[in-house]
Amino acid sequence: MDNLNKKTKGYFILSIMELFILMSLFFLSPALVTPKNYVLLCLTFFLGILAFSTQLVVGLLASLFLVFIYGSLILYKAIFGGNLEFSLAKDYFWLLVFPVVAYTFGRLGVLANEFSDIITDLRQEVKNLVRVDSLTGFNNKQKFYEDLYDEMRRAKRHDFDLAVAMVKVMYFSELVAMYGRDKADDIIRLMVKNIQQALRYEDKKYRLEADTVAFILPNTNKEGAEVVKERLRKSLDHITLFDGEKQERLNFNFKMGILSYDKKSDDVLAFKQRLEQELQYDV
Amino acid sequence: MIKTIDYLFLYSLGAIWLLLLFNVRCSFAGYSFYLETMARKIDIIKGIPYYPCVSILVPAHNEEKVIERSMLAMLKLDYPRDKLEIIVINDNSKDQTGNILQNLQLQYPDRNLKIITTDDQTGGKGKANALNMGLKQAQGEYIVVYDADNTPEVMSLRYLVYEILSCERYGAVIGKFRTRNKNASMLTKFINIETLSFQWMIQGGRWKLHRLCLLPGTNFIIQKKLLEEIGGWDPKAIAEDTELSIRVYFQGYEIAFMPKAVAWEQEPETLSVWLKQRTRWVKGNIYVLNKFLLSSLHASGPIILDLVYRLVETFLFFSAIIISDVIFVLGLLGIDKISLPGNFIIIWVLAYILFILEISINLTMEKGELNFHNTLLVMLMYFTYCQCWIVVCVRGIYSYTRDAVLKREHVWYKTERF
Repeated sequence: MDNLNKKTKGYFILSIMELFILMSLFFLSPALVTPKNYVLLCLTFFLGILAFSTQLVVGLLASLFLVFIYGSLILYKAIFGGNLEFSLAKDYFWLLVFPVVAYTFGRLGVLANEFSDIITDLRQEVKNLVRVDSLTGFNNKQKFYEDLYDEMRRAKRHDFDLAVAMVKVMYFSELVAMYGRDKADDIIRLMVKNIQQALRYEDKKYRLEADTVAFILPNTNKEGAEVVKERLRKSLDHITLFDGEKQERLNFNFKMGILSYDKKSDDVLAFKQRLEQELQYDV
Repeated sequence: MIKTIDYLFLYSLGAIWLLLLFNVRCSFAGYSFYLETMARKIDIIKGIPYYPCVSILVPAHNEEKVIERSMLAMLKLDYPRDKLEIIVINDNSKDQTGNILQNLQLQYPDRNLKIITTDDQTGGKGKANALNMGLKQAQGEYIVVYDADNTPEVMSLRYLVYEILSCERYGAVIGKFRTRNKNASMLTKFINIETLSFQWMIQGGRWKLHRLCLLPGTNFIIQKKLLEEIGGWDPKAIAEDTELSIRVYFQGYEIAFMPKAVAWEQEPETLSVWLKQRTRWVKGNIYVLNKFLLSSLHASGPIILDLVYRLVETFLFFSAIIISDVIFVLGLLGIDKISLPGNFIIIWVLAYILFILEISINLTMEKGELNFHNTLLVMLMYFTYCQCWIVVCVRGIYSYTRDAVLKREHVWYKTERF
């Protein structure tokens, strides 16, 4: 990574230097300021942009094309056009400028892509590794499935009771649209605070989607689950939001589902699906 | 006033410019072929409709240094075992090649590994002759040829089979070869760059433009039926691969290029071995031109294009080089001088820059090959390695002419191993 960083900086400086030198030439030698050279300068810029934004090889192919066309043109003029005053400083240097610019800008593009690949990989890796939702401090979806599987196995093997609850904030996207993302986050935070008061310490809490939270309630039977449901409903019924001076009391619609585990199958996905169906009956 | 020498000079300028144009065109076509290959969905696991019987022919003459590893690589090829036959032609070897092969046969009794051994009476007449012997014994529907120093990648045979089955017109399919010992010396580094460029630009580019490829002598698959129709390899040909390619095209078939079928090979590590090997290629190519130039008048298809191209290329290139050299010497001696005004050094500058660009483009197609080190090598290559080719061509032409005048048989030179 260090090496990549150094290389990128090196090629960046090189690219800037090339353009600087090119521009300086025009200032230092006014004879270069001709329409032909302006066109060539424009082409060089476009070539650099092309090489940087597409691929190195595309830049090289474009410069191959330009070098061949421009070189042939000079040759043609030398033979048939009677134009004899060609010199390295005035004409030939473009033949070098095209490939050099294409190469450095193309390389810079390659390095930028490498960085972006590394970042994408790291993001994916972090996503795979992280088990905690940053806003609520609850565990995330991956952890939910892992834990649910473990708990189901445990409940089945040792004949424990197990229930799982799910709470969904209705019209969450409209809520975000009305109050903004920050306020919506505040609402979620308040909701979480209230929920924590309603649940036991050993109950496991998860945020499954932006608008959905779930709880695994070990050693909770059907009756116990009903009690929890009532408590949750009470705690979520009224959420008071402090907005600077004024106190805003908001009423939200929640849907809540609770399901006790029947100890028949180990299929977590099927279990979650049944739990989602429970939400539909909460009218 | 314009003098004769001026016309000659203009001619050589024009000739070189034309060659540059050909190569620029090939570079673009080669890259386009590369993109096409990468975009193609090639399912070598489930996409092969059926597994034909394949016979691998491996001609081996004094190959004790490399044969064991090559055989192991071939035995490891991922292909149904009951459909694969490996025939090694131990052609008049004076070293341990035979013993090594016998040991391998004992170690792998369940594999279909056949050894044909010849002595100086029955064999030792070159690669084409050895291959013909193998062909007679081969049971497969398709023939695959690997040189004795080749280590094919595990999946490469599947790619070859996949491709040849994909189109009825394909008489043969060639794979890509890469340099195993590229870091052994400066020379092998140059050869590595040369072979990669040759394959993407000339083989890939020509395939894209004219659906034309030439057999590289190793790492290719060919229909056995077709080989039998055209009478196998020509034992007199020194470049038996090019010679065979032309007859395949005359027969109305095509040779396709499948760059995903990779075999690694060993390249000459010293200049003298390289010179001998390449001189043989040049002689072989002159033989091919000589053999087919007249008969090709009656043929048609892309192969004519190749023959004409080769002839024009050779003629243009050599005449341009020789004429411009002569003009240079005449000027130096003060005998005659170009009266054309202007600075014509541009053609050389152009040729050099185009060369570097074209080779660099080809190197980008191979992961990790376009690095700073190789870019420097490419810049150096033009003045060193490429100039050695002139020596090779002159040697080849001289040797061929001498053999023709003295009515001598061409002697097969087998590349030494390292």
